[in-house]
Amino acid sequence: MSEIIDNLAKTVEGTEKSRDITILTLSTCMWCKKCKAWLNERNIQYRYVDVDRIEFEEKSKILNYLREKYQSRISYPFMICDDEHVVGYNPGKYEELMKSGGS
Amino acid sequence: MDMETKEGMKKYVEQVSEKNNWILNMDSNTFNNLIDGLVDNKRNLGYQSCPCRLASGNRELDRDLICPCDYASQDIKEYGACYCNLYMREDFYETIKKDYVLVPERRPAEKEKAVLDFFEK
Repeated sequence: MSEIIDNLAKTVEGTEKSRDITILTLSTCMWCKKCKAWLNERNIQYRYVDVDRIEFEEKSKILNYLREKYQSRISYPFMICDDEHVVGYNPGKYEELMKSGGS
Repeated sequence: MDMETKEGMKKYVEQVSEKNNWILNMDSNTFNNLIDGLVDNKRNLGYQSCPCRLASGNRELDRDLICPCDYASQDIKEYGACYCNLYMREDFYETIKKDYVLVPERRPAEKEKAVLDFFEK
């Protein structure tokens, strides 16, 4: 994971830790709140960065990192789950990811 | 109306929806979250930028995102709701029969690139 994300991410503790999950979110975004609620309801541990709440330089670094690594447009929530990613709130895909991976 | 307050923002979006013959999201939790996001953006940026997209903070660059965003009309026509699902087509709850729809991003990639360039300056 990028150093900038590691430095900025806040951890939400959960008992389910089989997958390494980071979400890039906006503090104002209803879909991002739904994504966090989806993870919280399942007691899944994750990290998040509210991208609208960080400095320009940090925004720039994170967005460039995501664009280069995932070759994707950035919509929120942007979930990184181990080596996979999901753009936008998509509970169907979250279910698949949780079932398909982890120990 | 004072759009930096929740009541003022609710009045504003009611007027927008009436003017365009749209309806507002009927899920009170979702609706209130969206209003809170708009009020936050109005207070922090000076304009009611779409709460579900990253604003640059530069009004010119964010002009297309000011609620109702430039893409709302087309998205409501095509998908039944705007990107945020704040505004919906009048028949949304009768014909789509879902609590929400996922609306793909219609904003041109060049506009996002311009925002990224702005952050890098």
